[in-house]
Amino acid sequence: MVMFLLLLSLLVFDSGTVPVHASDLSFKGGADMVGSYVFDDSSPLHGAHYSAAPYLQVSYSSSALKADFRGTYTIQGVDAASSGDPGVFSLDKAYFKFRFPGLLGKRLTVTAGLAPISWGLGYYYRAGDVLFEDPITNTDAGTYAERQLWLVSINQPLGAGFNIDFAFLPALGETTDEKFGILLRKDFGATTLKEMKAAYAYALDGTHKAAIVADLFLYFDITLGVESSFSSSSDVRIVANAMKQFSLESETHSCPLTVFASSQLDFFAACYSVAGGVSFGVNDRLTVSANGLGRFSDSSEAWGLGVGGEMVLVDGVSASFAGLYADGFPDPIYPDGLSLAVGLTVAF
Amino acid sequence: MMKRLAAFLLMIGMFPMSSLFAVAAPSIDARYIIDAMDAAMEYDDAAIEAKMVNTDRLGSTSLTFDTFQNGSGDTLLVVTAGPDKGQKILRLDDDIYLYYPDADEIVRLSGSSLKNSFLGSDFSYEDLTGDDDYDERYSYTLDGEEMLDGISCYKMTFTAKKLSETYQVQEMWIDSERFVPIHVRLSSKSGRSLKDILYSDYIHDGGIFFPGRLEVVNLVKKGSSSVMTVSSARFNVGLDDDLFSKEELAW
Repeated sequence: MVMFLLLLSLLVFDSGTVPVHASDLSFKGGADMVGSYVFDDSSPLHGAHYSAAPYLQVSYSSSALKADFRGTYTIQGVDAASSGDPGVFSLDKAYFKFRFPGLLGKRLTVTAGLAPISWGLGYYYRAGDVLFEDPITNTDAGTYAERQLWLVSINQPLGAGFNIDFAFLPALGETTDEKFGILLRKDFGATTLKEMKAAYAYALDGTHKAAIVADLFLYFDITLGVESSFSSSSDVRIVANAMKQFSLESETHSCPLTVFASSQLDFFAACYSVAGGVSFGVNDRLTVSANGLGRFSDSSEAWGLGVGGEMVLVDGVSASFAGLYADGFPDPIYPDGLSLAVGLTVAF
Repeated sequence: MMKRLAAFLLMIGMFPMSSLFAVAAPSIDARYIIDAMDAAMEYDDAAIEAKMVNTDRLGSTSLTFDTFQNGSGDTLLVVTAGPDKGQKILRLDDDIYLYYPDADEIVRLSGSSLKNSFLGSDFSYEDLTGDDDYDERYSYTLDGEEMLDGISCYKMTFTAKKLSETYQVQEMWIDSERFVPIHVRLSSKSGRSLKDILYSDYIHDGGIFFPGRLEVVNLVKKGSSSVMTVSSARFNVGLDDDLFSKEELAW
């Protein structure tokens, strides 16, 4: 089918209907190297860890076709003195996107392969990602939640700010049962109400999941979402995110300050989760951050506090550090006690 | 990386296409000069290809980018080479949308976050999304005529009407023959000079003037500057409105 779509899209668009995209083939590579130490001697993760993960990405884009392939080879080990585990190759991305003339004079986009997808909104707790097997949290809060699924999806703009997406997910990778999804979006473009989304997913095992999400601007960037899997009357999850970027102005400089607070109320699991953090751009190259998170239920509680920083040494090379003190989370999410990590990222 | 890319866009935002030329002003005054400058740089839409070289204490980096702008002031910028290749920025009204190709995801910036540095540059996102009506943002006076690099210029001073404006004072030297800016000095409220923007090598196409070279000199950070060179400029090409959409941004 991919070959059919490829030929069709090239035939349709080869005449240069959309003149703004030149064909482009690019290669990108790099490596992430991390060393860490977990101090909790009761944790199976106790000790030193190291990993090196070189990756290579090949991308192609034109007005009608876009393709992306990325693979990572990860070598990791425990204790610097011991030999590392054999390397593991993972496919991070492998997808084609095709664009065709669609309804109402709009372009229709078909995506096939292992592709990053997000139907959710939110700075930390994301609401609306009904295609995923479990609620997604953005542990790299402030950047994005990168997650890939095997899928075939169709996007069709409908005009007047409306958009509709269909997705079919085969039982591959983290998808355990074939799944169908539909997402309707309305972009309001208003000062306060930015966007609303309604999403629904049905899996062949009989489960289904739906969500309604509003993206607002009320001094803070706010996301409100309600989700349900319809397994019982209490199966409701409410997510609220608030994020604000400030600019601390001096006479000659402005430094970005980002503050976020996110909460998730899960009536089904009888659990309340909250996360918050702040990051500060000291200058063009150094950013420091502090984060906290907690998870509370009738029978347990867990919390964690972390600090981190990233410094761009030269273009394409950055160093980072992170420290976390946690208590009550099940291994291996966050080990109890103190954990430290340093990293070096190289991109070319 | 994309340091001071905003300078280019700032300039576009400053001289919107929607201004109407005041016909037959009886004498040269500040109002007449601003209207004439708007008219000299007015276009319905534009497609620009440019290269930017940024220099600071640690050396130089370069990138190339394409920029598209429609008659409403909506702007799409696509980085075509350099460390941020593939990154796209879309301006729609007061919102900025950033597209990260690695994650294939769009992030929206709005409200006060627009004051933050634009991709590590000395310009803020607000510079790009500021009110297109320059009259609403600044009061301005004609200070007189001066020679600048052998060019006869009108010297004007712009004073911000709101404390929230990033640049409280702007001095602008405008070519008295072509009515295009030659030099802009941006200053803080106390009058401390922050940046110089130098416009040169103007392209003249179909009655439209556009700077072929733009240099931004940071007067606070020693040795920090950026030079943008336009390699291609096309005006009134009839850009598709769909180009300025989040769907196009994610392509």
